[in-house]
Amino acid sequence: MSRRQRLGLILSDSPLLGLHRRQLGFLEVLAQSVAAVAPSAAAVTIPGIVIGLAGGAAIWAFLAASVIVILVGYCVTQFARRMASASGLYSYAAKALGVPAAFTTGWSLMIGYAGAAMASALGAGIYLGSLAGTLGLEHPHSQLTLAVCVLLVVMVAAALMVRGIQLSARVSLALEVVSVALVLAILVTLMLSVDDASSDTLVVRPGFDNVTLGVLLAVTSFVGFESSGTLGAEARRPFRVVPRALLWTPVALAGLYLVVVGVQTSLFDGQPASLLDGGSPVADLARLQKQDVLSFLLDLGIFSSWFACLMGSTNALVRVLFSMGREGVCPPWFGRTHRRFGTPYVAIAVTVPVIAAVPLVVAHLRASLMDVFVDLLTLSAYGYLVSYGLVCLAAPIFLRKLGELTPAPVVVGAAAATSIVFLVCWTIMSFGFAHDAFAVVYLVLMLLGWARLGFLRWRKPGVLAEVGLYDEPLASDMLPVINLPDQP
Amino acid sequence: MSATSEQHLSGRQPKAVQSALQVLEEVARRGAGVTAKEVARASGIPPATTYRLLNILVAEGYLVRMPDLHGFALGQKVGGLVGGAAAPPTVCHAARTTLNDLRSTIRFGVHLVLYGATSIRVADSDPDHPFTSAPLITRYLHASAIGRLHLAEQHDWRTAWPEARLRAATDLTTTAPIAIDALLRDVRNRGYASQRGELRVDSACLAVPVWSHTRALVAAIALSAPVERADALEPLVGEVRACADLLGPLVS
Repeated sequence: MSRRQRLGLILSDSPLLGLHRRQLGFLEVLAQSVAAVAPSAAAVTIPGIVIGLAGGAAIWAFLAASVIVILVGYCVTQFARRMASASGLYSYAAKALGVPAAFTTGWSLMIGYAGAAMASALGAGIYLGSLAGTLGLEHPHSQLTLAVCVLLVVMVAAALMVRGIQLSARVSLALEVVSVALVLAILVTLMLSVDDASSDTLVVRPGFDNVTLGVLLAVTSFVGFESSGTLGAEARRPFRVVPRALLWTPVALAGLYLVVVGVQTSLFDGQPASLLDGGSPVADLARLQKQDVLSFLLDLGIFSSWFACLMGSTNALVRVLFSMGREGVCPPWFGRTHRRFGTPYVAIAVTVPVIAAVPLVVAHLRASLMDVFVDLLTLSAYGYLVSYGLVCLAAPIFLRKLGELTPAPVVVGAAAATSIVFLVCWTIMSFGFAHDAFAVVYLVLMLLGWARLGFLRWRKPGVLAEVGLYDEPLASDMLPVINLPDQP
Repeated sequence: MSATSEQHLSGRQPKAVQSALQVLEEVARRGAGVTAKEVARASGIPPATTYRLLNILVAEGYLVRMPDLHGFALGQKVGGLVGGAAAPPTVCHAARTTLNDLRSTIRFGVHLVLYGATSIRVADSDPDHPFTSAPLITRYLHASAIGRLHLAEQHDWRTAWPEARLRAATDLTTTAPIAIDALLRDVRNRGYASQRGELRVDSACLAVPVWSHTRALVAAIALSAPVERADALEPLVGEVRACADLLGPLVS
């Protein structure tokens, strides 16, 4: 707990001063969570892969994943109902698990957000190039076009994010509505128009290992939903709006994915098995069916989804960095906010070039763009899952510390944490590290984080007392009354 | 949930409303810093329900969760409920002008508090140094200058503040009943109360009483300063007392 809190002092100014406090409505907060998930991009890729692994059991895999993620959401809301934060799971873990675990949660979460933002920048860049190509503007797959598209996308996103959280949230919301509608409409059209090819071409015999991997992949199609926890300070009624967004996002996504998986299972049934190896089976199927307009619209929808995800993940990432800057865990200039727009513009200005550069460099090294995607998203998934596991453990401990523990959070926290640990361990045991290099990269990044923690402990131990900074209630939020005890 | 189901009270909901009001009452009665467990125990509502109701009341702004996350206090919205009657009481223009004149000559925080039967309300908080200690003083009345003025006015201070509540807010807090006796005698003799580092290690305060024409304690002017500048407070007593004499007829 921070120095201020131990004195029982009520602040007259928020430690997150500079962000525009209390201005976002429910839809804008919801948009943050949804955008960071990129549901339409996930809906046209991940179900296809899971169907390839688990065949008819894919729908069960998604159902199991939905339950796990909703349980995680329940744990996260235990915090979101009680503290308004700008760094989400990081500050939540700090109130329950102490500094090292909180730092691990926060650092891992940042890897999650950064990986997702990089993949989104790449995805949006590729689809922008592909859209331009369809319109006959340029050759879509040259490296230069890709670089130009990625830079363009990232610069526009950065401008929107600096201009204001309200603007970027509204743009994300509009993009997500459009892209989800497009994807659903296209799937329905495809389902109605697909001609039944020879049956029995797609034969999948799901084993337990495959289904487990399917569940894990399905879980990764929800990650990012917790990011509205970073808008606690900026939400108008944070204790009502943020928990609602945290609970409704996974429920709504579960509905979407289950429909999509159902439709795609019947769509891919009877299609050549090679379709599921391509990475974007729906788009390929549309092309296979010679539906050029459909595939163009689908590209547009997926571009919107990636673009929104770029903003969603980066907005969350920079708010964690901003909070760390205010604490002193990161250099203090990360904690600076724009005087007019109330956004952490320095953190945005520093992270955005990295988000654009890393995927381009990796793309230059790797053979196929698909590999780059998988690498970045795998890395990101490690980051998210570790922080989810920790925050599920933290929830009952947090409530116990507050003296507000009831049986439900213990059961849910234990179930959610166990499921995540089981999924990750079982998959690693059965399949090995699917992408060895990136497991190593994740560990190296975590080691860098722990090295930073060690340095702080050695040189600036005072800073660590500030870990878990959140938007404390101010003197102006309370009735200025000194109660006198009842007199006999 | 549809609009109609939200407007329609079903069988168990009146009970929920009663419980919510009971929780609100309990926090109002026990004062800032009361914990969820204490509220549950005092109200007899099952803990899980109490915790949920507390969170709802916080979400709606009727309660505030204290910075330590354990305790609760009344939120600003409660003041709005009764058209401002429970909100910061407004003092008349003349009193405000008098206070502002004093503020222009003193570089410390200058606040006006009003004494009531069940609470002490902050009537005019210094705009440059907002009054932030209400929850702390509720818990450690004996450690604050404002509280000591109140206790010194009692025939026996123990009726207003049981000895069991003499807890230490800092290492410097006076907690021995005999020491409190002496301290309050001193307050009566000097005509003002003070403390340094007893409520918070980093601040000192001084309170000068405002008397009604029947010589009842109706208000106080409280000064607050960083603890290292505590010595600069006492020389100001004369000036503050002159202001307090002017305020007497204006606030009583």
